[in-house]
Amino acid sequence: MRFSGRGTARFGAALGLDLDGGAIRCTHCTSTLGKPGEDLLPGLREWEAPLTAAGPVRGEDYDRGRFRLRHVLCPNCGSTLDVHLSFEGAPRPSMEAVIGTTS
Amino acid sequence: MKLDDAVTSKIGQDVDPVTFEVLNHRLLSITEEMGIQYMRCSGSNVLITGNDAATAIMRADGALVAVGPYIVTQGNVLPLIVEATQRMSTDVGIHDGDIFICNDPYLGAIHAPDFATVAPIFHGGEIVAWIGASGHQLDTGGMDPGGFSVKAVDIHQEGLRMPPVKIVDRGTVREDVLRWILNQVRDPLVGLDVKGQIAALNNGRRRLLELIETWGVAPVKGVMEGSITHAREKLQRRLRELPDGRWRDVQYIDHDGHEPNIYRIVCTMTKHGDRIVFDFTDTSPNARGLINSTYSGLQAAVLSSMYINLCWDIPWNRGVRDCIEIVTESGTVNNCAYPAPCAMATISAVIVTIDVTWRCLAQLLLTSPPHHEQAMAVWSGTSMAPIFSGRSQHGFAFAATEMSHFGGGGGARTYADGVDTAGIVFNTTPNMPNIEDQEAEYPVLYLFRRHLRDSGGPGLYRGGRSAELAYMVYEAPEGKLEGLFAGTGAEMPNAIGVAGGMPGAAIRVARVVGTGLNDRVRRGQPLPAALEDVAGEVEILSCKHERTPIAGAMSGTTAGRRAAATAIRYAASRRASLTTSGAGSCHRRPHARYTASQFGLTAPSTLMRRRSCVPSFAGPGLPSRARRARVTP
Repeated sequence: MRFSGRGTARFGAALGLDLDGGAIRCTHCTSTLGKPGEDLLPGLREWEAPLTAAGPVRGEDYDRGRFRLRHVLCPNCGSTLDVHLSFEGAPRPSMEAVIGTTS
Repeated sequence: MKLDDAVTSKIGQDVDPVTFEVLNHRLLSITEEMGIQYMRCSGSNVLITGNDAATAIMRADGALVAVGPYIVTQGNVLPLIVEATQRMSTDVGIHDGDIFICNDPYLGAIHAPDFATVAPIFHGGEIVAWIGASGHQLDTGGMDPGGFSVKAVDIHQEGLRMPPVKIVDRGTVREDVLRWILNQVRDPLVGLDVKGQIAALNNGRRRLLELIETWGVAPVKGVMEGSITHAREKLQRRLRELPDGRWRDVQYIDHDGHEPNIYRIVCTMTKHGDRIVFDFTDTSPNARGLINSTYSGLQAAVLSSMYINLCWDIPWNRGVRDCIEIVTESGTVNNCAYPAPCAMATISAVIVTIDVTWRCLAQLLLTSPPHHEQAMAVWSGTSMAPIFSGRSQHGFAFAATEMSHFGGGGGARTYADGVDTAGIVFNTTPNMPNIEDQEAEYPVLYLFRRHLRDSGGPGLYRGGRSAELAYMVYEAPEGKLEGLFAGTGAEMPNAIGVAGGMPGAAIRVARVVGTGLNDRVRRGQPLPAALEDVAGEVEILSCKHERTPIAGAMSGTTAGRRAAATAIRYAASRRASLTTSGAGSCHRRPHARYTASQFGLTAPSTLMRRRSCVPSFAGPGLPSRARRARVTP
């Protein structure tokens, strides 16, 4: 998860991108999660939960133990930055965005 | 009205903006009218209630100019059908008044149940355009009724597969070709549907020629070309406004019809300047069973995702295709190699390809301050098509797809919840069947159909809810029907959230036997309103369940007949929401009240040409478990 470029922006409600100021912060607790251009993931917390953490009828009747819900969290306050499916051996979602520069 | 020569000559090839808008919208109106005509001629619930069809106008070389407000994935493949027709019809020739029919997924269709018809438009002895109409047919004559053969291992087992064949020759229907088609399929209503397509194209041809007669062929061709150029240039401008970068997402298909194997679709989307590349490297090899799609389905999925996410005010045509590149390997699950089966392509590989590209595009939009509010969480995500067949209470043989799976929830937005039962993602005018119509047409009785509680993904704004329903066989002349179920997303949800939003519901299929419901009906007692209240043994069925008898009531059935076995329930999974960041509450307990601020995406009000869609049921006003609160940084 990497952000670079210019200006300020938000990614969802949880990530504040101060690219000119050189900091990417959790908008809830304002802790700094990383710098522009850095991969944020190594500094974030991850937590895997059963699919039913999202509610009922999330596959529990067909569960073979293969899928989990991977939460990517602010290490300071636990705010959720991303949630996606986790399946052993599969590539994981990623993003690298260059913000504020237009071609 | 005929314009005088002075005006016509002034327009010429350089069409002024007002004329451009008038003619461009006229082209869109023609596509919409073709669809209305098709559906009004058809007798199929799939078309009448589900709008499972497509119409299009194309340039002389087949490039898409305008697509009707129906199933956009079907519309996206009509240019491929035209290309195949032009390539393969040199022996029979292409003449004024001809109509060709094709349903071969390896020649441009998405899957065999979608019969596509295309017709050249001649003016002055040359082809100036093509028009097309496509529709999901009730049966294709394969191993199982309804067009989905769960146990098929190659395309030949999936029934009728037509390369482009001339079904209307210079204005005269070829009854031999129509007889040949009807000889392959179980339900004679397919013949009416095909004739409906022919009627739609005849009307479309008439309208387009009227337009040419009024405005001249040069302005009409100029507008067609201009619409494509306009779309391309406007999308290029929008792409230049968006951040460059690379996004990758992974989604899954569970169960290939034979084994509960997991297939992954990987999309790495790279945006640089005014181009987007969708790279599907690392996608699983194609499956043994029906979940695959051919390249036509893959392209249709990518284009549909692009249209909805980035082209809310841009014509949906070839101009969009000119801005993207698709990298894919033949022999993968969403670009399968012959003779892989692909009957279920639309609600497996195609819809999951939409999901994975959608999530990439949503994240792209989220990183763009000017376009942030256009982002939506994944819409509908999965689908489940129950098919039942047999003899109706009217004495006719039939095969029917229960179309309530078109009632998926809309993706949450950055400022509002998702719309409940907003519709399946690739249908711009989705409908669910009217239950009264279903019960009048088929020997079934619905116990309930309503919003599924907690089916929307929780988040700051929750995803839209989907539906659950139960029905039983009732007054079937043979005492039973046969049913099969073809669904994706039972073991895991496909409606994944964005920026922290949680996924929506998965699907679930259950059968209850020994219900005693027929006795209750005979005694005039109220029917249960929840699956939990249905007596009997509940069996959870596989999401791809092969054809199986569904027993029901017969008039005068003697007591002791156990075969009132039929409460089928499914829950279609829908929508995830966007971003939770809340008050430290990052642990989601099932059924808990979500106190975290919830942030999701709803159906965009800017979705083009959306007719109002009134659900044909009114569910109980279930309180949402999502609580909305503003996040205060």
